Amino acid sequence: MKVVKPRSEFLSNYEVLRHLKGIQKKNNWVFSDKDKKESNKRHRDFGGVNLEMVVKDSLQYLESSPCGVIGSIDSFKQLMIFLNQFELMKAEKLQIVNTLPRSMVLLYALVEECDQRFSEAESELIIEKINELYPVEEEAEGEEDGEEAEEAEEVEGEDVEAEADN
Amino acid sequence: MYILSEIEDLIRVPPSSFNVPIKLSVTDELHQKYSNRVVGGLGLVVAVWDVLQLDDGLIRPGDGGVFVGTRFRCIVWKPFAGEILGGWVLECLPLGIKVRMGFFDEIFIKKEYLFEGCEYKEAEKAWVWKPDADTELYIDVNEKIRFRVEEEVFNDVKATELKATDGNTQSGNEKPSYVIIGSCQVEGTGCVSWWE
Repeated sequence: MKVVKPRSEFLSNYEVLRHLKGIQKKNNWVFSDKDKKESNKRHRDFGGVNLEMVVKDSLQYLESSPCGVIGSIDSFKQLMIFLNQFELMKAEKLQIVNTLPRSMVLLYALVEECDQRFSEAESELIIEKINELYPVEEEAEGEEDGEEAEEAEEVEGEDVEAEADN
Repeated sequence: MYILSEIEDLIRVPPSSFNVPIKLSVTDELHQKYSNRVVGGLGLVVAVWDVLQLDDGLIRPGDGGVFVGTRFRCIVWKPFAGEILGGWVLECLPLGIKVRMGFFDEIFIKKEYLFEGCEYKEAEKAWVWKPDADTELYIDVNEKIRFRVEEEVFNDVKATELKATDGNTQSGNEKPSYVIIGSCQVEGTGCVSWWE
């Protein structure tokens, strides 16, 4: 074994996620109930147990990490093109697309000396763009559902009482 | 963060794989050899990205397999110093905090690298950060935590042999082959819930 180029290219988490999903699909591996429905073909494991294990664990991590919300290559490209207008280091850009910061604190932690290199308005632009491309919806929806369910219960309760009165 | 590394190696393709296209069988053999293993000085190899070059196969007397020289690129997980990563608290120890990321669990945040005013509570087996006199922020097990990578440590487990990182092949007192030392000292690191 000889390492020719230890670092020939950088990869973003999203690219790795896509590649590993490809491997999973090619081998018909089943990691969750959702996968089960999609494929009932024969499980292929020529790559070995270690490959299956690392793909499973990495996918689990990547899908729960912020880059799991990136839906398409197009939106990813848009974000990259947008970030190119700022004077960011390659590693910093990578960290932004991997972590998708939605708060100033996090952005400041990712970008060194962010307060000196970028104005507050510029930093806010980055966060706004991320929120625009990948809006956070789940939590808001969950709350609304909860409230509606409670209201529905109350209404039903009243109906029962009304019927009882009659 | 993930990087692509270019590696050259001589791979033995067993006769049972001769019916498979050579690129596919070599990729399978490479996965067998490298996946989920730490290459010293490089990082944790995840999977083969692409095969760049395949030489003509060579045979050896007394061996039915064919040896193929190959140059390939693989995905390597190798965080750099200063990178901010997310994980979950695995264990709180008096010496610091162990963090897991699922595919890689050898991450340690030393107590010297925690925020100023951090205390270990023996009773709760948890670390507590007191940013001011009245607030107590707990770092509990399984909480989501962000940390900054400070350094990476490679331990030569066996110089000639690559070592699998899974627990099955390691006995308890052996040193892990790859350890990440993290810190929680800048704003934005520590428990994710603190900063939201």
